[in-house]
This record gives sequence, C-alpha cells and structure tokens, in this order.
Amino acid sequence: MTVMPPALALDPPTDTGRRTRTVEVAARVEERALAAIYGEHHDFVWRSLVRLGVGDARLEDGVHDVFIVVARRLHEFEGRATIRSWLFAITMRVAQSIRRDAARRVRNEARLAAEPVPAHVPHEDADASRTLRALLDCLDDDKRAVFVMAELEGMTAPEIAVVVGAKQATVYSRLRLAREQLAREVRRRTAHEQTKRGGR
Amino acid sequence: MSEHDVLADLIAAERRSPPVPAAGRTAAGWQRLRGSLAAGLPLTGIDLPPGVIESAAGNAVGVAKAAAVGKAASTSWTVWVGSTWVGKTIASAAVAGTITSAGALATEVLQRRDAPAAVVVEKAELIAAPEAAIVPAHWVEPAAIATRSAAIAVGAEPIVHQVQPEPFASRPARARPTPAPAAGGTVAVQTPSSLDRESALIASAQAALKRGDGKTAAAKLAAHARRFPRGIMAEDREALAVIVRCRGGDASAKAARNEFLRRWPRSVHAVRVRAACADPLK
Repeated sequence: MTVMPPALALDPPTDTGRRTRTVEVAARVEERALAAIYGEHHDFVWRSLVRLGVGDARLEDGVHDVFIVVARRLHEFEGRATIRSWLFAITMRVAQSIRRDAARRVRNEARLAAEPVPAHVPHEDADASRTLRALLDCLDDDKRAVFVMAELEGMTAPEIAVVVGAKQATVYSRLRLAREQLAREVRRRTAHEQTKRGGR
Repeated sequence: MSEHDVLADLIAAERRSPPVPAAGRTAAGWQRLRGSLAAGLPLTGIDLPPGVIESAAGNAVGVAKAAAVGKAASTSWTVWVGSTWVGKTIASAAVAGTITSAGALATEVLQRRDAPAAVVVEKAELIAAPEAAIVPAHWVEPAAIATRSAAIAVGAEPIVHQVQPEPFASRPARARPTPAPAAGGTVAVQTPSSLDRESALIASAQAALKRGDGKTAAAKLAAHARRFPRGIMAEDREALAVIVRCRGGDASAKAARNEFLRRWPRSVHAVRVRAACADPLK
C-alpha cells in the first residue's frame, strides 16, 4: 500500500491545487459580490415582487428564490444591462412561478373572490398602494411588468426592452395598453362603487 | 376627477411611498440565503473547465464593484454606463490584487461618488422624450444621456470602500409599516419553497453525474422535468440533461446540444455544455 507523503497530500504541486485555491478565492469574491447586491437591491426585489402580484405569505420565499438564482448566475451578468434590469428579469420569472404555483394549489383564492377594491381618491399613500396593486391584477404579466418598470421604477425604455426581450416599440405599446386598461378598470370600479352607494 | 387623474395620483403616491419590507427582514433573509447556499446550493457554476474559473473570479469582482455603485446605478441606465466606464480602468488591477494575495481576499470594492450622477439624472429629466404623449417623463434618449454621464464620470474620483461580511445586521429600521405578515415580530415558518425542491433534484442529478452514474442523473432530471416543466431551474436541468446524454454517447446528444445552445445562447452553462459535447458521437 502506498502512503502519500504528508507534504504532498497537503500541498499538491499540481494544477489541481492551484485551481482549488482559485475556486476558493472566486467563491469568496462571489459571496461578497452577492452580499453587495443583496444589500443594495433587496428592497427593490421585494417591492417588485409585491407589484408583480406575489402575496404577502410568499414574499420572503420569493426574495430568497430570486437571490438564489442571482447567486447561481452571477457570471451571466455582463454589464450590458443595468444590474437592476437583470434582477427584475429574474424577479419576473420567480413571481410568475410563485403565482402559477399558488394558482394550482388554490384555484379560487380569496383575493380573486373578494369584492373589487374601490378606486377612490386616496387619502393616504398606503391606501393608494393597495388600490394600485389591486388594479394591477387586471393586467396580464407582460403589461404589468412593463407598467411597473416604467411608471413605478422609472426604468428607461431600452432597459425594459432588454428585460422583456422585446423591441422598444413593443414596450411603448404595452405601456400604452396597460394605461388604457387601468383607466378602464378605474372607471369600472368607480361605477361599481357609485352603484353600491346608490343602492343603499 | 377623471380616471386618468385618479391613476396619475395613485402612481404618484406609490412612487412617494413604495412598499418596503419590515425592519429586520432584510438581515433575516440574508441569513437564510447564506444558510441555503452553505447547505449545498453552489455559488458558482459546477465543474467549470480550467480557465473559466479565473475569469469567473474577475467577473465577480466586477459585479461586486457594480453592486457597490448600485445606488447610483439603480438610478438610471445612463449612470450605470458612466460607472462601468470608470470601473473598467481599475477593475483589472483589483482582480490581480485579489488573486495574487495568497488567499487573503482583497475587500476593496470600488465605489464612485454618486453626487455627479444625481446631477446627470436631474438634467436628463429636462430632455423632452420622443414620444412624450405616451412615455413617462423620465424616459429620454439613452445616447444623449450616455454622453453626459460619461463626461461627468471622467471627473469622478473612485474611492475605496470596505464591504462588511454581515452588511445588514445594523441596518436602521424603516419608518413605514409593512404589509408583510412577519411585522408583528414573529419569525415566519419557513417551508421548502418550490425552488428548494427544484434545487434538491438538480443537486442530486449533479452528484450522480459527478460519480459517473448517468442513469440516476437522467432519472433525477426526468423527475424535475415532470414536476417543474417550466421551473426556475429548467435551464440548469436542460444543460445537465445534454451533458448526461453526451457522456453517455447518446445518438441524439449533438442535436440536444445544438438545441440547448440555440435556446440559451448566453447560458452560464454554455461553456460546460460545449466542453462536454465537443464530439458527442465519438
């Protein structure tokens, strides 16, 4: 039986040893990179999930999942897009996955069965936030994402085009359609509210 | 008040007061993330061919740097362009320093002063958008801003910033209450998310592949495909499936490889797939 000399076992003068050290350094660099991204963009990811329709109960799981994907795909980030648009693209996928999952498990979620939230003129921003999120539920995923990025996050058309993998003209079109649809929904809810008041 | 006015008010209110997580949830989330990663989810691509790791380390430093300037970068596409532009001249030096320091990881992350960036954005907002009728006021021609951003970036001096290993422990509480259920101070019960379940399947397939058990790897991947056909890790699954086929000498491996590279041309796994399937029919 051949016994490996300790020195050789501990410090193999091979490419493998050098590669292992390089991997360790890379992993530590990546953890710091991940920490920096997490610290800077956690809230952005969180509120994006909220605005993309992820319910409160799954929000923390959603954020977790986004950053797991980020950790796995740090190399994909090439700086061609902003880090925020890269994160939003991942967040969109996670949000869709969570919503599909939820829809499968609970077909008739209480949220869907609830009365429409009246589109009243908000007295407080918190009311406005709830009302807006309820309105956003009337949009499909594509239009909702464009609306959130453009109107709420202030992202540019080229940025959004990269995120959704579409031409800028498509982005403009989706935004216009989203606004029209939301305005119709506001009108519908307002009429609903007035009818309800009139019936009392 | 028209429906358009109502909508505009709602948007303005949401911008003024965006939803924020409860105090302490960011730090708790980071601990959970580290736990998951330590428990087996790899931070880096697995089995990368030699040579790729080194460039990966460089990329990571770049990302760390990018994230450190994230405050400015997140403000605008243009600011990002400016930050990247400044970073290029110093990123290579940072990577070299990191790799050659015999394990003592350099913690310097380059950060740019963000005050000039704010000036850029303010100025940019004054530029009229080409489709002013339908685009938000902040949308402007990117080329115009990029020029301004780069011009200002020239004058911006990079400063050295220390990144703390636990960056969120002492984060101040947010003033605004949160809609999250954990706001009452209770610790949320964490059940395995679908991503955790996906990860477990992929990890077991990877492990099987590593020990040369292609049959088990294929079975795990097939299970993933059944349970999570459109899962978050579908791309990882398909990459592994191609590699399994290539290593097993499957006759359809070449077609599978080409299909994968067509579908995900910029995949993080592209290098591995190409390497594993250089000559799949041999």
